[in-house]
Amino acid sequence: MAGVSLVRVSKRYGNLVAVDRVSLEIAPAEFFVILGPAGAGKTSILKMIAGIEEISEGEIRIDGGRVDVRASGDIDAAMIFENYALYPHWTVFENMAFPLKAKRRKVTSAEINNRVAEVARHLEIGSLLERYPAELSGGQKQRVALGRALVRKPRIFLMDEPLSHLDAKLRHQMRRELKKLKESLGTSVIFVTHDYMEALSLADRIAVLNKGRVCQVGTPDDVYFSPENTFVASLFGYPRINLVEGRILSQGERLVFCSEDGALVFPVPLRLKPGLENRKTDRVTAGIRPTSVRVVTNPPPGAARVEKFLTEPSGNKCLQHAWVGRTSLAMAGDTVGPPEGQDRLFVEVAAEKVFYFDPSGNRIKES
Amino acid sequence: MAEVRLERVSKSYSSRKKKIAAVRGIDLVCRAGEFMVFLGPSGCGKTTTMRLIAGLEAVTSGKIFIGGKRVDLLAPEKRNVALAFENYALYPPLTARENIVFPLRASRLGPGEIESRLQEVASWLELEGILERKPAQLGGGQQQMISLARCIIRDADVYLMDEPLSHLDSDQRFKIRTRLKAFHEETRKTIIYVTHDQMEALALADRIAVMNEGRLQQIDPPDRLYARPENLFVAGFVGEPPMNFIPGSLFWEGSEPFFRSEDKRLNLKVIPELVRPFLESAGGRRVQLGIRPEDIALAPDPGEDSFATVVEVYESLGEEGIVELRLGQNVLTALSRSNLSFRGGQPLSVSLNRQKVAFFDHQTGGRL
Repeated sequence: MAGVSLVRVSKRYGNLVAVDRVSLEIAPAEFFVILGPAGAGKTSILKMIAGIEEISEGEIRIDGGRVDVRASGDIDAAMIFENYALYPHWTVFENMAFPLKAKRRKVTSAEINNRVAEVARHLEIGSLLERYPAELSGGQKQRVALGRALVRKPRIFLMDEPLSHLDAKLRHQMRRELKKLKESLGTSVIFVTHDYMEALSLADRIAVLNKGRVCQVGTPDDVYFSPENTFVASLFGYPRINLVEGRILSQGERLVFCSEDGALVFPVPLRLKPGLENRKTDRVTAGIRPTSVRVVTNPPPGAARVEKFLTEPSGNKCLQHAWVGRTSLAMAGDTVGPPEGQDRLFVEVAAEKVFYFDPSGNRIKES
Repeated sequence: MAEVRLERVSKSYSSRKKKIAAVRGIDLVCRAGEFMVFLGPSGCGKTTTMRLIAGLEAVTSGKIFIGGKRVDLLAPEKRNVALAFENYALYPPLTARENIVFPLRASRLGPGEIESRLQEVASWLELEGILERKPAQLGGGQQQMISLARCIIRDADVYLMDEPLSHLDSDQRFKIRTRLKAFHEETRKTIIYVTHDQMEALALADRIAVMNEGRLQQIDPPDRLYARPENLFVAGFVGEPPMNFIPGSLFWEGSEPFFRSEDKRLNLKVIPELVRPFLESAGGRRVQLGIRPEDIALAPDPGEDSFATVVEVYESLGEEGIVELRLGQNVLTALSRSNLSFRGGQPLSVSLNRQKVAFFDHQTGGRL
């Protein structure tokens, strides 16, 4: 078990800055997810920790000891790749025993047998040891790949989008498989992905990365319910959050948000009043999750009229789109099918759940 | 716009030793103005069927009609169909603009009309900024949008689209999907759209034709397909997380029908009307019980037919969650929508919505 710390780590390729002064503290036994779009620098960070890639600047420590100056073989990190990289002509046992057979490890064959058996029992693949990879399901292969890494007792696991090559159904299933295994690892895991569901499901904490920089580090609840900026807010949820530009106006005692064209107006919650009061001259952006807005037939006072409405059934949910003035809103409701009386529909925003962002995209907080 | 009709259409390929049947006797009608989606896993025959309609492949047997006119012996350009492909098929030396208007070069449209159509399509797919670029200077998603623009700019009887959004990232895909749907609602063109993505199919289609192993499995509107899948394949393919299946048997106990799982851990009173048509009062029947994740109640009312499970894994995904439950030899996936939270190993009493259970024949997989 080991903690990992990155102190102002940068990676430059010529003029291109792939990783820009990233500092992270990963606790022992923590499952830490680095989330970001393609090109955010996620994989570069992983490779630098593994010692596969040199760092341009900064320090990387594992258990307090600097590793960025050492050879990758000494770092003792187990990397798990997208395709598991099992040897097809070897049995599960041979695949798992392989890392222990390296000469310098000097492990006796009795000990190899013991360790493989122990790990296999732990991962519930004890009955598969004589099979070949082609005879395994996707979930079983994933377990074998993990098992092969576990027998080495590495100090940390590094996983680079291990599920991304699977089709949607299998990916979701394997994500839950991995979540089940998570507790039994007992080792720090650094897991890189662009899939927000994997991050929310698996992570103890998530670091959101954009253009080589860390935007936010926090628990899944932190990043989902208190995103620091529009980038983080847009990364979580499907459909993505609706970002509506507008202004803050006074309406009697209260403040209201008013979209640019004036078509969508809803109250600002009291707890945000102090923070938004002095924003009246600025443009602000309201972030409305598709789950925080719905279409109703009985308009609450001041509700905006829907001009155009579309539904997309998606099985257990119903995705809807409503156009209000120039604003289009994506909505995700529980009920299938459009409400009755399509010609008189109104938008109801759950005003308590709306986020507000300043002109530079940072969330305006309760002060 | 025109109706497309397939009568007993088959396509097989012969290799040295064996004959491979890609499409096996498909009968279907896509109505004039309908948005139809062909849905299935890779290798199910959906793309081949589309290529047969387009005339890019010749049928082995059967007939194809477009607007009542038999077309399966006609050359592709005589069928008046517009195509968009997954792999773009753009002309590399031409700019995006030239690629898009290419199909209109032989039309009687004047340059003014062509330009205004181009602008409309380009703004609709957000291509304004890249019209002067060549395909090699564009990303995969952008090339795919050019291919889609080239398809919809035409005045065709039928629009055929093969995974036209597959190279877009998920945000872009969501956005364009919505516009495609809006485009169809406005124009009511006949569209046949091929995908392996069940979400996309449910979102777009007026009706979905589900295919597997070259055969048509079911053809229905999205709501009905989801609510009443005709067999195990459709039930398992449409819906995410997928429907849960529990093997077991149905039998009468006095005047009440019961389902008992193979491992005997689940005994469920079944609504008599649900099984009466196919379950004779004597003897039982081996079946698979199907239940959707959202039809498993995680906090049932006390007393109501609940049974004990153990939480295997709980995933919190923002405002919703997915729970895997161990019930004897079966693992059930359920959805949690509220603020409930669970931990692995926790015992949990759950109930199944008896109105929503479905039964499938153990052998044929057909819905009972």
